[in-house]
Amino acid sequence: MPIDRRTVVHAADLARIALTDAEVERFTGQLSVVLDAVARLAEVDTSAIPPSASTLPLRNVERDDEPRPGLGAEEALANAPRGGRDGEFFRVQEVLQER
Amino acid sequence: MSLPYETVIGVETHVELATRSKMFCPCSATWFGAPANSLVCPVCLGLPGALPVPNRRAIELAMTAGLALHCEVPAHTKFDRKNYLYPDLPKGYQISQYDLPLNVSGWLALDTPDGPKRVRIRRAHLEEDTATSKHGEGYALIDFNRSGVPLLEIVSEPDLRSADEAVAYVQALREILVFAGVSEMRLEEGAGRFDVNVSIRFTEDGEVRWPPQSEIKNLNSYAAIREAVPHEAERLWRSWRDGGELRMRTGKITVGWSPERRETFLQRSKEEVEDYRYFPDPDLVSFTPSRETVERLRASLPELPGDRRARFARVYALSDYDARVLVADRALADYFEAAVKASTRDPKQIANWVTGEVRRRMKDAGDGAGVPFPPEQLAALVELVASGEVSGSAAKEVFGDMWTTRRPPSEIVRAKGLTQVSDEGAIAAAVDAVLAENAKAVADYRAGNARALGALVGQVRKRTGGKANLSVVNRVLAERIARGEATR
Repeated sequence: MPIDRRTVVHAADLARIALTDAEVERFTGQLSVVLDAVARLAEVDTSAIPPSASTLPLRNVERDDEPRPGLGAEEALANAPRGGRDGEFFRVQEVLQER
Repeated sequence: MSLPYETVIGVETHVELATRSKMFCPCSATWFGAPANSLVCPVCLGLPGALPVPNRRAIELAMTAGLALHCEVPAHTKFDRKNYLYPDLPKGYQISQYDLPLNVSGWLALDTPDGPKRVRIRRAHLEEDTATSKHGEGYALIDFNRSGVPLLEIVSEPDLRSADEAVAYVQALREILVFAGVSEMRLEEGAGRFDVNVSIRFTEDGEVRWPPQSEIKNLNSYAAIREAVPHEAERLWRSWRDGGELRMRTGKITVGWSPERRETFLQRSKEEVEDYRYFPDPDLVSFTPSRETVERLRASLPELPGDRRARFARVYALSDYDARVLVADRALADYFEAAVKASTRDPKQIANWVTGEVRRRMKDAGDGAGVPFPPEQLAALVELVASGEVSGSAAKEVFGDMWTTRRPPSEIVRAKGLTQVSDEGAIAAAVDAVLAENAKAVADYRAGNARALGALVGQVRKRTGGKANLSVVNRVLAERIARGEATR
């Protein structure tokens, strides 16, 4: 199942990964090979197998609606990258919505 | 003047469910006003390896909402990952429901100026809310307290035809959800948000045209819907008429609404079409609602506002207005019904108090305040008025006292000496004295000046210390004057 450059560029864009033209070229070939390998699953006859969203033999796993304390701000913010904390907030680069 | 096009509207409503904890982790869901990032854990921060576990109550509330909206409950449902990158979404995906939502194919009854209408509900699914952001110059501050709060997204079919109708729809929806205890839907706290799909339909060259819609994202008030919808419909119409973008495009666009500039702005065009790459969340297992659960939830569903309004009007002989005002607030409606049960008098008299004084006082007292005394005491007050023991104006004073002191009305009446005098003998004596002293007013009245009677009534009231029962005073006065006439 060969994929084209456009699909690779689109996927990279969705994942926010910057690719050079050379990389796009290389990954287009590599990803086609990966997809071909996975596509072999299509050769299996699944006509007698019901569709399933999960492979786990479990259903209706739930918990009670009981609040419990979590990490608290200090511990949570300890994971912020350098410069990524501003008081009690995580600080990130602005994402412009309005154009 | 009618527009050259028809506005076609569908609404996606997001409401936060009234749970105590979050959708997939036990952090408190009471995020509004909490110190930033104080209600967080590895699950709602999207830390590696954290595993989500669904909140049973959230699922039940979502099902309750579906039942109240006449939805079908599917045999199986599951959670999917909706992938997109944004700073308020720590995992890089939102847990939502894609092809097997919890509720499908329902409807909501709407009263419109053109008569009753059914707005079809396409689906109502569960998902998790995002974090909140504060925007600065070139940066944003993220607070994850809201991250993971259970959210129900209710999607209507494009059955609405005006901004007013869209607002009526979301108001009716809110009423049902609040009544059913599904959500408090406090709009001012962001607990209800609307994405409104707007398109225009018209006839041109004998052909019906229905170009692609605009989705106005994230409206958070009725006022915003009321302004943004006609604005965008008109913009679409002009764009078509003037050969603008609408002529070219084949898919929908996403726009935002600026309440300051009072106009929409483009957020995402068709070229950057959403590509969410939904797939079943491997961390969560599928869900099969049991018959028993569905039946239990159905049985505990309260009488819904529309039904209750109709019953109030029918059983208690209330006006449409009274029924509407009472049912708009479930606690108020319950209070009214309890007071009616405790009373033998006309329910209309109870309704007058509840829709008038009670509501006014509750508004003054602020959000969340209830009536400080039990409904039986309101019934007792109504009884005091109906039996003639206190006058209408004295009853207002008693009511005010009940509100602040919570003492029973009879006790207040006694302590303040507010019992009205209905004793005919005492009143007749006062009337005779007044008539004797005010021959001129009597003559004026006889001469046809009806207002002179008011002055006489006032005199009698004064003489009895303001406690004379007005209806008795009026009757006795009329009798005496008429008799005087007859004997003259």
